[in-house]
Amino acid sequence: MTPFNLAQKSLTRRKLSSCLAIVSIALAVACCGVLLRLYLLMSQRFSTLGRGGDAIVGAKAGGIDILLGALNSEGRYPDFLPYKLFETLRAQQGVSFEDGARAEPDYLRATIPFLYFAKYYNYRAVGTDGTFFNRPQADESPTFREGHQAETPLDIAVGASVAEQKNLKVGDEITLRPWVSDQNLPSGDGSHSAFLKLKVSGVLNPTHSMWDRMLYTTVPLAQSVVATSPGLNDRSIWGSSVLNYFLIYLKPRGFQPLKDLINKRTVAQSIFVLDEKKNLEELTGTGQAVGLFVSALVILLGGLSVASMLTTRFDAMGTQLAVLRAIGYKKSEVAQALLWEGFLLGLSACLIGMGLDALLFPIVRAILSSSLPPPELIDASIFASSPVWAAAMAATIASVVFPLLKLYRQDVHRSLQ
Amino acid sequence: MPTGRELFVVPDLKIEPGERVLIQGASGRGKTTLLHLIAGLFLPSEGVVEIGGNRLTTLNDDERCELRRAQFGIVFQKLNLLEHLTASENVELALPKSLPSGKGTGRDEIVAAALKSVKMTDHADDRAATLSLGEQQRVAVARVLAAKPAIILADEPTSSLDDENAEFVMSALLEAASPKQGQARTLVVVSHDARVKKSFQRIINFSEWAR
Repeated sequence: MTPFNLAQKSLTRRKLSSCLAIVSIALAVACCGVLLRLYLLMSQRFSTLGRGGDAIVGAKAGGIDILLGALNSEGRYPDFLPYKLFETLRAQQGVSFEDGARAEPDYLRATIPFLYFAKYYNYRAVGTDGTFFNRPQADESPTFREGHQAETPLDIAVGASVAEQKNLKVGDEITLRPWVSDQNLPSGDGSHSAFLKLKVSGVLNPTHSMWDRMLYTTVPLAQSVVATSPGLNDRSIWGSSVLNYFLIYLKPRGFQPLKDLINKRTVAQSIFVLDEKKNLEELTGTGQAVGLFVSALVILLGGLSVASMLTTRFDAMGTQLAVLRAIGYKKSEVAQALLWEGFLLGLSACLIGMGLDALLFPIVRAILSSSLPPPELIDASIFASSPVWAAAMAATIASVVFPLLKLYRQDVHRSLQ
Repeated sequence: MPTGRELFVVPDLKIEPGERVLIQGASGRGKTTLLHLIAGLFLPSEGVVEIGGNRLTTLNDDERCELRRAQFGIVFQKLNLLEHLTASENVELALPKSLPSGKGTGRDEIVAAALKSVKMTDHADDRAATLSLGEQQRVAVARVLAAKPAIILADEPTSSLDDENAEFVMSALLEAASPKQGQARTLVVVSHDARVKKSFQRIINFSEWAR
């Protein structure tokens, strides 16, 4: 009987013990695989931030809220800013204040308007203009795969992921649901006026960022939708002449004067993108480190439990190994049988664990959807769990080491007495 | 000896091919150890053990294993079988490596014949763990019969068995040791069971012989 046959029979004949070991390892593999993939996703969560210049101006809020709201399509519907302020900044007009102070915003290279106004499924639609597609830094400018940016109030350009997921091409007509507030979302009663029918004018090339998951039309169209929103007067003293954010490209040393002007003299707040990204990384980095620590702890505990179970299993085989040795099986043959058994055990468990991982991960991802980047942008395929499989295989085979050591030191004479 | 402790000293013992030797003596005096010395499972601290010209003390562990596989058939008092294997699989364990594996190679026939000769055909597919001690001993003897070794060692093969099973196992062992196709088979049995005396040409009283 070959070592492989011996291992195979040892596994299949000790059904309860084998099943328990396999199920335990499989569950550990699945849990660790899901945890690892979640960790990878969380660590990449903010790698999908859209590229939006040097600074962002938004309504008074936390810096990270402004950053994520503008560049990662996150959070509630943001408050409004006066369009007049945008015009002033874009025109780089000097501003005089009642106290005699005067600001000359000549440190701006580009100011991009940004106004959310609708949703297409879960994708946000934004009103902007040509500066969004023609930025001072050409490598940050989204480009069109086909078609062009929206030029009339009936047009809309779509990001690469939106087009791919919804199979859209230039000329297609799509229906958007107005979204200008979280309190007063239209009920979607099916009446024509509650929805917007727009024609796709262009499809963007992939940017591998949040820009791929957005739709772009003109500011006037976006503002016209805002104008129809119920209770607008309670939320905006500027009527519909508003924006949510200005994405700003600055000249060197331009942030401090912008900050002085915006934060101290207006209803708005400016943030420096790099600073807020750093703050975000520090904030989430701590959470990720804790998450990684907990995951590592779970993996370690799971591994130790399984190793303990396997060590006990193989240890209990001491007498039988002695019988094999007594009837003429070499140590190397018995060792091969043990290693085969560990390998087959690990392989079966990993295959089942992979299946469970593949089954559970989409569910967990759906539950945590708002905390994770969307699948279209960052995909954590099942193969991202491969380090767990390798570790499980290695751990299972390594758990044979202790019985192997005992085998090589075994005194067959005493074991059989 | 592994512990460095002197367990016992035995005078020169020479067993001729085909000889049937019974080693008797009180429990705990070292009979099993002597048997294990002969099988190379245990090495003497002094002196030599030679099997057919092979000096066990000069062979390495693998070489002793190969020698056991090729020349020895061993029946222990208990713990003979791998519990998770069936009776036929336990018998198959001892077949020579040179015998090709797979169906149609004669392995199955050899195993079936061995089990038949110990009246265990009906239990061929039963797991060893489900067999009684008497049945396990029969399977252990069948394992020896299948391997057709030149030397058969049996350690208290009947001590836990009733008269009927003891007689059957002993006669099966003697049958296994009977010369086949001109090849002499040596049988060495360690036992304090008085029932088996009559079948042996040479009886060594271990308590008087060793010190």
